[in-house]
Amino acid sequence: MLDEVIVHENGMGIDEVNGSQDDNMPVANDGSQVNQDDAITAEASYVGTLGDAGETAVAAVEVGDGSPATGDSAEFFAEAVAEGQDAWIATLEGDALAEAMQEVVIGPDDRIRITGTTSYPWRAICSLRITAGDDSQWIGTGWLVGPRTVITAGHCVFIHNNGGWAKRIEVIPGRNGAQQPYASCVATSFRSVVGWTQNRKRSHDYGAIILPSNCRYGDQVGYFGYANYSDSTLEDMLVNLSGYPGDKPVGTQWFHYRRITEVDDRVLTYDIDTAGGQSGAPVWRYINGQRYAVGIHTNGHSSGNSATRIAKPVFDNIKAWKAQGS
Amino acid sequence: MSEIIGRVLTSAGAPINGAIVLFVGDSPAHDDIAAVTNDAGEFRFAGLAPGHYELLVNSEWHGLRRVVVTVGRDESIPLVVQFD
Repeated sequence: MLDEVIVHENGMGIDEVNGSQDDNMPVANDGSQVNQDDAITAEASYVGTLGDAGETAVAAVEVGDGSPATGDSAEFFAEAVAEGQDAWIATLEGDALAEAMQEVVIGPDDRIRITGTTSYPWRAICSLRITAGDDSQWIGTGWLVGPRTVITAGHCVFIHNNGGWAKRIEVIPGRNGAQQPYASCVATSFRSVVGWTQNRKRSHDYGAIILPSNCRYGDQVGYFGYANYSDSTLEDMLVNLSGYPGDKPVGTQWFHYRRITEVDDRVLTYDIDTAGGQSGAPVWRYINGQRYAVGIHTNGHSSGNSATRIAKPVFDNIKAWKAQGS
Repeated sequence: MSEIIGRVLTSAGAPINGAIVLFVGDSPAHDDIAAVTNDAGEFRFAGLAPGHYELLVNSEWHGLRRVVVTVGRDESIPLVVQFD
């Protein structure tokens, strides 16, 4: 069953789909509708394009297109990398590389600072400054999935104990401390699902930010692909995560990678190091030069950090939200 | 559910605006979002399950502070974090 989708526009209250309506029908607060059937058909044309010889469950794979946008991705793949691990090291040079390697060896916190945030994919990852419904301030992470669509955690766009829907979110792609190489845009149009906003289910903790029409960051910096994989494919998959943790210098981007340790119907668990502020970060697979998000990071816990899995309903909603921000 | 209502202050007792506050360590499972203090140096985490929470306060100008807070059932816990 597809998730029931609800949509919010700042200043217009909450438009929630009545549960008695068709649970599968996405809606928008302006009355427009997305034809899910058409979207799924279009998406199906991508099935099998991964071309991964080791991918036995290819028929169960649906992928969105991840595009570096400016055609400069080849330079980042000069280094041979392990299957799944991102080619992060190829983006680092000189002092930045030394800094990164030092981070790797100094202890259990082996997250790596990304200093080359104007390179893809790092520039498609966004620092979020969130103003909640009660005017409290928060930080999070999001990632571009299309020209004007940023995917993030549900609790970044709808904070249950702080007024519900966010009032506004400042989106800063490729932020590097005080540097904002692509400036920023303030968004007031958000998406999530009833499973999060009404029922507060951890399994439904995901959402989206639709950027203003004059803010087409995806055209400029590129965006991630996304995929709905089978359980067997996800088990033990090496995945990457990069975002903006609050325990590091303000506004700096940090990367880590590990294998998935547990696969649930709607949740992926891993030992990737994260901290508050990385909610909404992409959890992605790097394969054949492409990045496919498989999860949306949401939760921290000493027994394992976790993401909302891009299960089929999540995949379908991302597809619809991407279309709304095209 | 419980809440932690905190203030972040300088050594002189002035409120610190813009400090980042987050859960770390062996804290119970939590959303990986971080609060930012307001002009009065205030922050609030609500909807907390009982447990021992380790908070990290990250101030760009004052450094890092760690505080452990024990949260019971249905209580509101005031907290002051003051930098040296």
